[in-house]
Amino acid sequence: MSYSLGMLLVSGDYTHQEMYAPAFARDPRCRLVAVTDEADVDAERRAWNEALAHRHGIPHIADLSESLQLPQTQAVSICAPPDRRARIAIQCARAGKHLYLDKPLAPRLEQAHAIVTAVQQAGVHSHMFSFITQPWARRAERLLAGGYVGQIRAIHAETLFAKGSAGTAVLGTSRQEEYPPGRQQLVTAKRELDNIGIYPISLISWLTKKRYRTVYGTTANYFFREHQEQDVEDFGVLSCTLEGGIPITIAAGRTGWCSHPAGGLNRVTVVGSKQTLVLDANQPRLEVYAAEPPWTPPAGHPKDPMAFWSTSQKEAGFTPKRTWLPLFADVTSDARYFLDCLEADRPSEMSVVEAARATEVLLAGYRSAATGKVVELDLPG
Amino acid sequence: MDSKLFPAVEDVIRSGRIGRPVFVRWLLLGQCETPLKRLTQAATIARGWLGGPTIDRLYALGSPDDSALVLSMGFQDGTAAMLATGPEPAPEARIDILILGNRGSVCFDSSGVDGALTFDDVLLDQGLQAVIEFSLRHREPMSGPGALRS
Repeated sequence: MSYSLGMLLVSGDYTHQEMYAPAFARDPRCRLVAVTDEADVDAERRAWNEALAHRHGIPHIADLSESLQLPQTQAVSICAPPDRRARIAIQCARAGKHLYLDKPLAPRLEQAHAIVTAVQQAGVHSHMFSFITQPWARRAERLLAGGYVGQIRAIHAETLFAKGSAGTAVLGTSRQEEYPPGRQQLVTAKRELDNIGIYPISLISWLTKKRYRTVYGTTANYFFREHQEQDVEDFGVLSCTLEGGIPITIAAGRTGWCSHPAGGLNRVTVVGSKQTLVLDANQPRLEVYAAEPPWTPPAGHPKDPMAFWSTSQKEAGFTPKRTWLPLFADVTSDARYFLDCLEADRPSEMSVVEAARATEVLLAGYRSAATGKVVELDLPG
Repeated sequence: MDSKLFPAVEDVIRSGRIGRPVFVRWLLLGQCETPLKRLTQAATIARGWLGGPTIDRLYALGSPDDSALVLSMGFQDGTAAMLATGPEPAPEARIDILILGNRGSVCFDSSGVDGALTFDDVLLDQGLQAVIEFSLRHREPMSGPGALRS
């Protein structure tokens, strides 16, 4: 009998469930069971949850506790906002469900550790969305494992999202960061070192199989009034070392619609003793130049000026950029990987254990940005 | 390369097309006898691209005797730069520049050509080099006007 499981979805539209749910639905091993959430979410969140349920032709169950009792549910895709994610993940793990988690794992280290404990005690599988399942990342893993670059001397990464109407931040002063960082995800802005930096942080530790040891970070407000008004950063840089003293640099942030011909610079340069390997998520690509009106940025959606969510982008009349067409970007690979792990009963390479370590690096970056000091890992607590 | 690249970058910045430069990221990969000097000279140029702001903090990684160096700089106006040197086993040197402006970006990638830079016309800021070396040796960030003499 072929493998089959039921997937419960926590939170709907205006979360990354907009992307994850279709990816799971496309896999014949997976049946979407329902959309659910905590019972006391506000009316707007409930409406968004109902909308995704309706679009997928599945029930909406208002109470997560009730939906976890459904016998046809074996796994849960959790996209609740960061401030609610940890307690929901713990509840689902304790209910014996495998966890597929939006990134980053949790805003506080103790929450991340609590998730790890709950998952380990429950004996369930877990996975956080990341870039490790992308074809270009897998190719890099093969090359590194095969000794293509030789000994790794340094790694430099840039992950920049070319979204949002930039040029509105007031410039001229340094950002004063706070620790611990608050306000991860708001309607009009997110902490972008947290939101985007998680990708290169987790990718580099996965590629090298090494842990971070020191972190020096700075955060900034360069592009968006919205981030500045909410006192969250739109950009951050990290100088780190891995085990063995390997230097790592990371630049991550949201840089605006017009900063890149596609979705943003997304590149990792691995400097080795034998070769330098450049991983570029925008390569290979087609480049199309035609006698057609140039692409123009969409008008900002009042509830989503940064174009976080596909639902709001559609409402705002967003049309995709068409000059660069990366060939191997795969929106379904991460869901498929998680299902492969469940089917084979093998742990994910980006389980909550690895995800918690990435959370620790992020928090160290914020702590460094707030204090001006190099932070050594492991962080206390 | 220098005689073409640097004026071209400066022209773009002066044009205002990318708005106000806020961040420079520069990788310089290639065999070099004096990587610390090279890093210092590149930092001077990068600072110029940002409008010449006063350095507020600086952190360098690596060993002064090694070619794989990383320099993170923050300036009093909030702008920043991150530069790295390193070995490049391939015959040709490679450089990679990203300048983010608040309304756009300019990138340069030397793939396919020899990215060797001579920095012939760039004066070495000995004070800056000394501070970078201090940070390297002591593995400490440097900050504040007292620590940064450049």
